[in-house]
Amino acid sequence: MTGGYAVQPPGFLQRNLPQSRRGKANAFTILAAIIITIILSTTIPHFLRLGNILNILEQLSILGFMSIGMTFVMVSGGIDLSTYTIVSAGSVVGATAMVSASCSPLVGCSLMVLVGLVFGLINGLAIAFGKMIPFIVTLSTMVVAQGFAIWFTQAQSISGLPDSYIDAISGKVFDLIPIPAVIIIAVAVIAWVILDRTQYGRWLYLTGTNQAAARISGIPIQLTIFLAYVFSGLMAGITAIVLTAMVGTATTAMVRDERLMDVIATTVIGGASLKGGSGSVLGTMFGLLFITVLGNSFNLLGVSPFVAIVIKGAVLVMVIGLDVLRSR
Amino acid sequence: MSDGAPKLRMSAICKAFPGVRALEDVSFEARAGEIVGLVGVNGAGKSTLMNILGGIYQPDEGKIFINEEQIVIRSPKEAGRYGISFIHQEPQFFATQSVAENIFISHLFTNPTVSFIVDKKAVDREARRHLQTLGSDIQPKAKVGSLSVGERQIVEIARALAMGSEIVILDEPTSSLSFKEKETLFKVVKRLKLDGKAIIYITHFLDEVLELCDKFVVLRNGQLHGQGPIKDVTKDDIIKLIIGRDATVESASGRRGKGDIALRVEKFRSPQLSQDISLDLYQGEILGLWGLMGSGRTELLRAMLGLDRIEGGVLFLRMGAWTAKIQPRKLLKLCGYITENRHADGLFLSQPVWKNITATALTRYVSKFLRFLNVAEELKASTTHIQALRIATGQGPYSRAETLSGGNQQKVIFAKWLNRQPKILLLDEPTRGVDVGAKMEIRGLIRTLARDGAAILLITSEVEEMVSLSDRVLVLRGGQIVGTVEGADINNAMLMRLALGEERLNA
Amino acid sequence: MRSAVRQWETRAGAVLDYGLYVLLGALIVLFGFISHSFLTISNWTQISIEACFLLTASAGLTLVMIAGCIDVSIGSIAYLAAASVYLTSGYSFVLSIFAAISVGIGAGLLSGVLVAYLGMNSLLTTLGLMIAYRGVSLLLTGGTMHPVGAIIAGLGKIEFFGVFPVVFLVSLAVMVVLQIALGQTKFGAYCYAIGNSESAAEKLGVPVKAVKLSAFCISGLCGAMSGLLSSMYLGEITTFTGRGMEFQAVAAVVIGGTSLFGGRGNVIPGTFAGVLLLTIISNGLGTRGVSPYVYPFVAGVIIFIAIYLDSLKNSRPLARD
Repeated sequence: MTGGYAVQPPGFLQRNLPQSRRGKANAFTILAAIIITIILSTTIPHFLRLGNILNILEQLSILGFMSIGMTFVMVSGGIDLSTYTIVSAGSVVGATAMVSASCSPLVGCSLMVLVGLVFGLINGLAIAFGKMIPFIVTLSTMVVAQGFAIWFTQAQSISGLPDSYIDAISGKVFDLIPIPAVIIIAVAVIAWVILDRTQYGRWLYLTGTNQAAARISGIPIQLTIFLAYVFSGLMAGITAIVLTAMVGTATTAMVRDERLMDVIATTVIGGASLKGGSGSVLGTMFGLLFITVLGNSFNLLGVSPFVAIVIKGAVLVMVIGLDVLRSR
Repeated sequence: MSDGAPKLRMSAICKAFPGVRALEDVSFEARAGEIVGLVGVNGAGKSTLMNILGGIYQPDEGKIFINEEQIVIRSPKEAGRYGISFIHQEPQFFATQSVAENIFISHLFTNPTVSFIVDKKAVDREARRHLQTLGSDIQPKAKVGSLSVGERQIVEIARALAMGSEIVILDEPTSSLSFKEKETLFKVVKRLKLDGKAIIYITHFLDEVLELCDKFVVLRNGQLHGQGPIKDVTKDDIIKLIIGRDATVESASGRRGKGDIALRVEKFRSPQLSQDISLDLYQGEILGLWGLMGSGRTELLRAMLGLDRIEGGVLFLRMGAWTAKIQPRKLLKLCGYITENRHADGLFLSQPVWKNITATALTRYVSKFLRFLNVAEELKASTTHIQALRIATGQGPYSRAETLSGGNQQKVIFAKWLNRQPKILLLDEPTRGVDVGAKMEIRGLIRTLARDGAAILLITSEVEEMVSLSDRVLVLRGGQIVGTVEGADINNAMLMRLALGEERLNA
Repeated sequence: MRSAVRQWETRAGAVLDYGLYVLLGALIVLFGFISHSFLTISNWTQISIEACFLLTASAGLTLVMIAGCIDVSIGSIAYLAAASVYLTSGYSFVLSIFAAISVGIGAGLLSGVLVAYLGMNSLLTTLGLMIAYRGVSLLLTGGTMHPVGAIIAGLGKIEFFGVFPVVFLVSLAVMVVLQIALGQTKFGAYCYAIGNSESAAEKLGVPVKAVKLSAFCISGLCGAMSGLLSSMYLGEITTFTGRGMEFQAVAAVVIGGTSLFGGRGNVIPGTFAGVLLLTIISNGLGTRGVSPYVYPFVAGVIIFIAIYLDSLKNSRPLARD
């Protein structure tokens, strides 16, 4: 290694392929995910049917929004357990507005996003400015959001959503591509741009890598962390919009508990770490693919949903174990 | 002092780390009922020697004898078993538990009949007994978290007693103590001596050595440079041994033309500084801030940057033709600040070098609209710095910071701040943990920066570095400025005398 | 840990330490006033029953949290233990009890080994295990409710003098035993030491890994016992057994004065008061006829305040690379 700079700038591949032990471990998991996907697609009948693929894409979107939000938060060094119940909270508020108050779908959707933002704000304030522990804060927000949803609806589910809303969101473009798939791709691209190409994204990575150094470098760490949680809340709101339209009703448990595991698993498989400073939208998307394909194949194979839960829990534990080993 | 064989004997100890010979043929003895003062500047080898005794390092060569029996110490736990207690600068304690529990955690007394119930009465009683041996009236039931720093230290010493240690090492025990607490500590240490323990007292406060110790040992550059009974020496003798009989290094910088004043610090007051501190920083000048650890240097710097709370004081910064009052936090945004500990808060280790370098001036690379980062520009700037500073990396700007050597990492940090093109640079230990070659380069860089007009504040623990770089030196002792040294007065002897001794100069 | 400990110790500490009991007393008085049926013996018997399942599980969790870790799988362990009771309902009730206990210890061993010996993050590990255990339980029970053996159900409904339910007495016994363990044994002292400073404890010869493993075994056992008691009392198991109990337990433990950062807290009176507070709120609101949906909301707000005070008092400096 000489002091003078005679090295050729590494090519695209070398620049983007990981060099660290950690990066290599990340790549390994992503590669494993792809290989498993290929294996499954060749061995399970009906897997590669267009209908199934589009089905996958549609399911993917819900998990996708939440995982993208979680990615931001984990890059900052925290975690957000509350996203999936904020979805319910937003869903019931927006749905009630559209059904009982006859608001337009636009208003309804805006309300869902607003609810998400409010909860995200609470999380962000507590964690970034109140210096509270992310796990506990979001754990209690999770319960509060759930409780709020139940209280708001008196445990009733809301149906009779306006057709204009349902068709707008859960319809198909060109009669083929489900709109949720379009939305998730759009959101993923925007998120990727923010994280990878903007000043804020850089702030997020640096803050997550070493908060003290970031502070000294002049990065506004509190604002950075705060916005990450607000963004996660926003994602919850978007999830509410899409999910409510897909399902057709607003209930108090829009997203099952187990999905939280899926969200964590996708981000961690995609390279994020609890310590912060790593993870990416692209990685999360691969993790997403893996988890969704896994779930989908369980479906096709007729695996009991309960076994699926067990396996997912086990996968999460293994993934965390891998994360620990990666950091050694 | 007892006669006969020494309780502890370390013979011909050698220890080397990559690039550094920490200890060379050091032999050292301590007898029961004797207090040995181990002195030397930072990096002289005191800590390494004691860490070997404490089981944290293993010597490359040499032997250790306890009561003339050779032993090998492989871990701190083993050191404990051999009767060696190492009381570190930062006390190790359990805040929510009682003094007695802290003392006896390794071997709590249990009820004779029910073997898993702790016999709290016995624990308290024995704790009180040990505390009384030390002449302390700390209550065994008090929670350690509510005790003062000095009291916590005494609890640790009591713990050493309770574990049956015969050899007690105290590492810079007085750096955070008040005057009264120091007196109490001395009483306690004298009691330990009466109790027949061999005590090794590491410090750079020579007054304490003269007051407390029976014997002194001086290390310099990893070698033994003097030892003997305290009653035979004066403070000046010890100072001479510490800094050496070599020709004092002359200031090599020569008189630099001083420019306008760049920064004025007026009457800064904080809990760690015992008096108001004021100083002026001029463009083109390297102002050294010299003093021992705990004298207030880093505290002053952090206070100036708004990283620590201050109780009073004003900053004036020259901007263009005006001098304006500014908040400390603002100074952090405008200057270059190299921190003491690059691993803790200087680098983003897992990130590539280019991201590290541009981190302080990201606003320069963002587009107006949407704040996109111009990565190409960032890479270009980083590459320029890498070439200018001759930073050795495996893949140019793309290497992750953690793969670089210490010296190159430090250069990256320099690059990071230079990227901001600041007019003021605040350097805290800029060549710490850096190999000799890189040290030279960095020192040359600092001189060049001053020549180009930057105002530089320099803190370093290496006296040669301070002497060879500074145009002017402010010496701090005990939280106040005791000397302003200029010109020919800037040499090893003068600086050490001011830092260790009693004098003042132009203060 | 410097004067920060002392400074906030007095302010936030006082609020957290004494505020709880003041609040508890105030609530009892309040509900007594506004609701006629609140201060009756039968209501308090009811309260003791409602509380005992959470009491048992929270006691074990307190230990783990004092040692600086967390266990969010206790709710699913409760469910799994209850499922094992159901599966053995055709046999002797002793077997059922034995099965539940084995489940608890087994699960505790698993978490303990992963966290203490493999160094995995206790939060995420037990989170993953929570899901896995729930899945296994759903598998074993087919996701529906089942009655348990008649004898064991009969045992569960015993009330001494018609006033002291046996399930409550069992949970009380568990709490007492654990408090003795925490406050009077070497093991307890080790837990506090590890929670305060794991590195110092390690250096001073405390068997950190073994202690943590034991702590997880205890919390697993307590979770299992909670499920056992619940199935005994109800005479059946449902998919709601243990559901969401982990959050309630964390809430009760933190409200009761145990810090999320480890090193402080106790089972009696702390966790006991915390559980009592939550139960009284839910019960009191119930006797007043308030919609049951207000409760989770209120509980969430209270835990939020409790953890805010906890972080004021005990938080550590910023994270590093």
